[in-house]
Amino acid sequence: MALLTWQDKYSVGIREIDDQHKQLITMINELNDAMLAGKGKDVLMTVLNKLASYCVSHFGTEEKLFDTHAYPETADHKDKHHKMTAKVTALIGEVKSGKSTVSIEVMNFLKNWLDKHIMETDKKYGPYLNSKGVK
Amino acid sequence: MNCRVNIDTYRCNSCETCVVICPEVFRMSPALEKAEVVADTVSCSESLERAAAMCPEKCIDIEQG
Repeated sequence: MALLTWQDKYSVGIREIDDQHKQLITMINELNDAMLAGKGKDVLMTVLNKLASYCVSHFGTEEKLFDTHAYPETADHKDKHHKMTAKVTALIGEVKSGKSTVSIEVMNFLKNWLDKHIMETDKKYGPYLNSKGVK
Repeated sequence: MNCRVNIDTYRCNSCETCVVICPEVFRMSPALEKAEVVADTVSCSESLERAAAMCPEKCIDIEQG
């Protein structure tokens, strides 16, 4: 059974972004399932590589919308993106160095991304971008 | 409800996953550098069950009662 399922409360009101956020939930479930099966380390690099690509594509989508529509909190939001991308890079380094606690670190990072970044930081731009006609 | 928790320290790989998930029950032994349980009997909880389920070596055994 999946740890997380998409719920309306996660929506920022923009279909393209919601679809990308659903991919994050898929990654959380993939890692959770692997950890429950005792295979967390086996899928970790796969998940982290997906996450690194996701940072580029997803943050790129958001930041293009911010720039296009002059979102007032662009600088602060981009700074958060920069820190999260750096964290993903650091986690990849930890896996390559063989640090064994990293499965649960990645899981906590991903859940924090959902609970804090999406539910708090991303939620702020939804109404603004909606008002500019972005749905 | 109380639980007794046993760790097979031969299989424990010191990853600290259990300590991160359920710090009220698990800690790292400085001497063994393996996970250990804080008391012979602990309170059963969802986080305890999750820690056992997430253990990559499946070396945590929980007995209820």
